Amino acid sequence: MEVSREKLARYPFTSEAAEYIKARGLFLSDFEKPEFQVVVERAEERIREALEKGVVNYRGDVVADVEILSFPLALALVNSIQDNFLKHRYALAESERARRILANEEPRVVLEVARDALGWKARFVGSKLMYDYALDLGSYLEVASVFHHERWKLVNRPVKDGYVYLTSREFTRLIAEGIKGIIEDEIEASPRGRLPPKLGEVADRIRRLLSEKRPASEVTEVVKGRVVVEAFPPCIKSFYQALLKGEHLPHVARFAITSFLLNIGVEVEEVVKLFTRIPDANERITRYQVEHIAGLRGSKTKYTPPKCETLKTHGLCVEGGRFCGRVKHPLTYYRRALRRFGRVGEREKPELSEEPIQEVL
Amino acid sequence: MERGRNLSFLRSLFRKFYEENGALLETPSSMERREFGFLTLDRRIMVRHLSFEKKDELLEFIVDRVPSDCYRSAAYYMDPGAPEMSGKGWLGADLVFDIDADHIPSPCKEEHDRWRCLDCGEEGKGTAPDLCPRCGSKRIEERLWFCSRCLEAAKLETVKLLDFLTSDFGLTYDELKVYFSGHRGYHVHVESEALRSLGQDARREIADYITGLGIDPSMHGLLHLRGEDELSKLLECSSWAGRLMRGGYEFILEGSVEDFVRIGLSKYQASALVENRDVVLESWWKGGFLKSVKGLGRRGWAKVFLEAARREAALIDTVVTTDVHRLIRLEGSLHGKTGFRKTRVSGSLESFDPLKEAIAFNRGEVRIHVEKAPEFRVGDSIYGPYSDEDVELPTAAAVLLVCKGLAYVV
Repeated sequence: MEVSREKLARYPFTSEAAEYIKARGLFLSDFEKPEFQVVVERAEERIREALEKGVVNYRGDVVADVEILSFPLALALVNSIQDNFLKHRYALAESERARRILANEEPRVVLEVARDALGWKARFVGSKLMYDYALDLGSYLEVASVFHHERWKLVNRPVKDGYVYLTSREFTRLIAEGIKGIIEDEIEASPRGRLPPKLGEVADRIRRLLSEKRPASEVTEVVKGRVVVEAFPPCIKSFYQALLKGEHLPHVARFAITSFLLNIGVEVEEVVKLFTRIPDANERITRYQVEHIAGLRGSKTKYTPPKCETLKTHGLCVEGGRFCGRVKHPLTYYRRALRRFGRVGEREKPELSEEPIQEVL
Repeated sequence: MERGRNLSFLRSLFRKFYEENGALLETPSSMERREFGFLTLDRRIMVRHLSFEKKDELLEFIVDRVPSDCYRSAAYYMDPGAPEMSGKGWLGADLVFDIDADHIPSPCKEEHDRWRCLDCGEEGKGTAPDLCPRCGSKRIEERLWFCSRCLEAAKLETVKLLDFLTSDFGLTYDELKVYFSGHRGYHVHVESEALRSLGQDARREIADYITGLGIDPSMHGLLHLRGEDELSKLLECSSWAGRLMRGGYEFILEGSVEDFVRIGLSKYQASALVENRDVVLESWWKGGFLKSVKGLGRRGWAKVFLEAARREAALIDTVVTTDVHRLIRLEGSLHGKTGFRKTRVSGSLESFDPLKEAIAFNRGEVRIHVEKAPEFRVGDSIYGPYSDEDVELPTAAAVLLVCKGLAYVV
């Protein structure tokens, strides 16, 4: 019994742990009682650790119950503060905690966590190969497509018979990523209402800490009423130039430049004008499509341009992005380039960057 | 006038086909969760956001409206008939692959594809130029043709794709359905519960995997091999490592100095590789090739393997695979550009003859006036070339030329 409780303390995000917690039948108001003081303290500490160090410690030294119960309480506290940065930060720090614990576990336990917490099909392949684990393709793709290093690209992984081969380190990294997702969901699902007084005080202390730790918000990017063609990323520039010359563009490219221009504040009218330079363009259809992408028609969703990887897949990326630095999205390129232009502009006002798109069109 | 005759000819033929051959039309699994779409015969307008509960209703609609082309979604929706994509409630999508001769370089295109300048009337063969060489206009109309050879090239890519799906992704033949599209290529539908919920990013990873985009040979362990043992361990878990080795072997076996220079080796390295060809191949599967050619280091070998990847990749249309809302041609339905059926390849793909098995119209003959048509085959017979003449052809051949806009019914 004690062994199993220790396991719950290590992995409080599993459904087993959730059941155990539920069976205790606790309400937020119960944590006001003195016997739970130590749980409240540990919950506050968990969140502090997340904000200060980016990882929640595993406290093997405290009573297992404190470690188990402080987890759902911390989730409820985080949820009550309703701050996206805090939510992500906390989920990340808890997943990092799990990753560190998993790194020292037997393969049997690692596989159990992958199966029970995430529903993954995986097996230990032992060190007779150069890899330790094999994970089913669907689960791999679902979790790893958020990683962008080329090492995680499926085409650079050993794949056979529906399984992706991974080293121990890689496998636990993926599990942690999966757990992060689960914890984010659990935060959303945890009770949110008026906190009882003592917990309210805890929440206030966390809010104060949060305001110290929150990174400075991004500089607002758009230089209002001005579109700087020179700051376009190479791909968009090439589409733009093709359109100016009245050349045909593949569908994905047309979508990319349309959504790009709309997102940086160019008016629908101006975008339509750009497209009607193509000799056989039909203005009515073009207008409809542009308005659709702008979110004025149909689903009313305003579309953003495809990210760099998607453009690469469709063969539209210019020279593999070697002019783009570590940017992953055309809009990010533009915002960064704009800041660069902006800085230059304050001193020298170069003519290039002053040219409004309306005139170019 | 001629167009009107063609339309009513096609309309009555297509209608009759669906009336008599309803059984050939396949309905997708969970058809009540699919969106359907149709191209109208006369104006080729897309009518979509339709849904059908049963095959009877679907057939009734088709017989009534006689569309030129029928489509259904690869996706499953809560409410497939909702007029907006956002209102449909996406539940998942089958994984779909499209292999089209358009994406495969094949020499026959130079012979049978044609283009015409809409401004000055200049004509030419092969892939259309960006600008008319005579008047400089950009308004160029393409007339794509297809023949046994480009269909064969598409088939070869499909065979490669099936290897990816089975030996790499572990899919069984029960989960795969292969179809001739009815025009220039093949479709492969994968219905796998494990892959149904994958989003666009994940599908992009699959597309990149199959086309070899972004592959780095060093990550497959081949540029740091230490002998046969390690190689065999690698091959046990990495299908791409196997492909790189096989493709590399073939390339070295066949390659000339020029071929090796073309992939970026220096003249010196290329000659050394040719001179030592036997030694390289001898040591290849023992994992000892890295040190077999003096002057050829890891960077050189990486280039060899990149060429191997290019040869081993399957040329799928990445847009189709990554689009989770894609409409795909309904199985068993007629293709409006040819009058052939989208046809299931149920036996061996190698021996499948699309120009025979996809024929929808087996009976009768039709008299048509052909403006211009290259030589072509339908079934076991070869027809043409024709130029501005009246001919009587078996219905399938006549329909093909009419659908292609090369002939009219007299």
